[in-house]
Amino acid sequence: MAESEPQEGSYDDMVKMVEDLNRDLEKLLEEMEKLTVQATWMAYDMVVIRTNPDLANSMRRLEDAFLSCKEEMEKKWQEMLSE
Amino acid sequence: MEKEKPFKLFVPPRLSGGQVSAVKPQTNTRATGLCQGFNKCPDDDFNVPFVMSTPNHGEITDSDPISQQVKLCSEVDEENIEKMNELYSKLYKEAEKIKRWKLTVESELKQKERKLQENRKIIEAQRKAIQELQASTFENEKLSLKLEDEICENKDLLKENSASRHLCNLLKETCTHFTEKSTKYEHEREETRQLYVELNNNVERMIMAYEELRVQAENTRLEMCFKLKEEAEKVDKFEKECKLEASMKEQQILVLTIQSNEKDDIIQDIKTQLQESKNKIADLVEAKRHGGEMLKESQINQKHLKAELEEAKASLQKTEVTQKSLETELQAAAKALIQVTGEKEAQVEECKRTKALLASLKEEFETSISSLKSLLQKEQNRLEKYEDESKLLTLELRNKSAELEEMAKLKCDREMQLEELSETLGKVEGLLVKKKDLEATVENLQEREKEMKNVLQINEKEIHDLKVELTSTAEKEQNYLKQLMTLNTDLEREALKNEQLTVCINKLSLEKEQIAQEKSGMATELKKLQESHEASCKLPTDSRKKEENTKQIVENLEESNVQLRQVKKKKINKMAKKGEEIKSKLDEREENAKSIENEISRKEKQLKILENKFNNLKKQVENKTKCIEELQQE
Repeated sequence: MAESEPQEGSYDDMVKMVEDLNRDLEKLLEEMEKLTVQATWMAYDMVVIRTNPDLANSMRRLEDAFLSCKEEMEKKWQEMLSE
Repeated sequence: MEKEKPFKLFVPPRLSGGQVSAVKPQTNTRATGLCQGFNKCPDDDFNVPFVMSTPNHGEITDSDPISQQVKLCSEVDEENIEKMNELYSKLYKEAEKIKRWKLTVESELKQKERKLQENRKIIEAQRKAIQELQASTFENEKLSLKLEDEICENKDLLKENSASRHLCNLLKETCTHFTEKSTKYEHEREETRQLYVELNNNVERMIMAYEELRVQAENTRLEMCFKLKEEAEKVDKFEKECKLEASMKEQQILVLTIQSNEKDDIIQDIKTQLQESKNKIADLVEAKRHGGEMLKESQINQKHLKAELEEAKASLQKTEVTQKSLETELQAAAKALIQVTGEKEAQVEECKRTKALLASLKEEFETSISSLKSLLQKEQNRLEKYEDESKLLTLELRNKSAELEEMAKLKCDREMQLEELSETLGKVEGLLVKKKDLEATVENLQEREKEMKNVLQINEKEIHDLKVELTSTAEKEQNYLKQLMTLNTDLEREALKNEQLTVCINKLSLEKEQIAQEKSGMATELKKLQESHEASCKLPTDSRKKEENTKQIVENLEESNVQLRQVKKKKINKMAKKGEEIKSKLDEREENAKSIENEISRKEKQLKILENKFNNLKKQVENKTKCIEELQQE
């Protein structure tokens, strides 16, 4: 893609330049389309990750289990002390 | 006139052609040229001016030629006919020429007209072309304007293209950045996913672990409850058992108290026995004192022995010192011997050199002898020659005497001859003198040869003697080396013996240490016995046994002391013997060293004698060389 513009240039050079421009523009359009597709995919993935409810459930389970353990440990020592 | 008139008559109808007349003046010049070209005859020249003059001077020159022709009419009429014929022919020729000229002119005119027409056509065509070109130029100008407009439009388009390219490049860059960022985001997304997954897994693990912990805690609690219950039961059992054991032990205590009382009675009995044993112990102590005194005596003896050992060690050290000194002396002797051997080797080398020199001298003498022999031969040849010459001279003398006897008359001549003969006789006498001198020189040379031979024999004898001496010295050196080796071996043996002695001494010291240890052990045992006697009062049999043991130990110690004394005596004797042997060997070595030194001195003397001899020989050789040179010069 030559940037020089000789007035004495033939018509073919201009045609080639225009054709090259068209090709490049088409390629760029394709790339842009691909990139937009990737961006939308990324956004979808981000949304999915953010709105995953498994973390909250698992954290609740953890809390329940921890609390149950605490209660049991406290019970045991209390019983021991009583005996 | 008449000539010209017919000319006029004939010419004017031809001049009627207007066209021709218009062109004639020009063509006349050309015709004249042509006629001049064609006409070669001088007559035509006359005709030419007439032809020339006719049209021009047709009207003017009428008067002058007419007058002349009137005069010549009578003479020229006859000639005029001939001339007329000639003129007619010439006229025909010229008419033909003119016709040709006309035709050519007409053709040329036609050609020119054609050319003119063509040129006009060409001009018209060119004008048309010019018009067309002008039109085309107008059109070209229009097209150029259009082209310029289009070029401007193209420039604008190119600028737009460049701008669009710039934008494309920027877009590419942005796309690349976007792709990079998208890849980064994808990596991060994947990492976040992995982290989420890990977190979920960890959380689930934690949950499971907590549940397990809870279950384990319950189990442990239950186990602990069971264990506590069991331990409570066990504690009750132990308490009961302890109570039972306490009652049992109280009963045992009562029994033990009864037993203790009984034992107290026994103890009192034992105390009485202890007192009796103490008395016995006192006796034993006295015995111990005696034993201690004996031990002291043995210790004193040991000290004496130690002193003796120390003395022996000192003697050993002295002997070692002496040995070292001897060794050093031996090393010095060896070094001296080595030096001597080196000197002897040097001397041997010098002898070899002298041998070489003598051999060279021999060769020189031989060469001199050969030269002298050659000289002798030469001189003998000369002598023979001289003898022959003398014989010849004698013959000549005889002949001359015969001639003198025969030539009595020629006295002057004979006297002269006699004088000559006397001169020759003088020469012969000189030659005889020379012969005698040569004979004397030959005798001298022979004597010198004899002397040289004698000297050579003496030198050879001396060389033989030197060789013998060298062999003897080499043998002696070898013997000395052998002696040195034997001495070294003896030294090594004595060193080994010394080592053995030291080993024995060490053994003795170890034995002494052992004895001391035994003594110390015995002292400790005695102490223990005393303590045991003082502490316990039970059985006197043990003390007696111990006394017997002590007595046996003391006896053993005495025996060991005696044995040690004997060993010490033996070793001291051995040491003395060894010292004596060492001393004898040292004396022998000293004698050997002295003998070696004496021999070395002898050899040095011999070497000095040999050197003197060599010097004398050198001087003799030099003298001989000088004599030889003198002889050669003679």
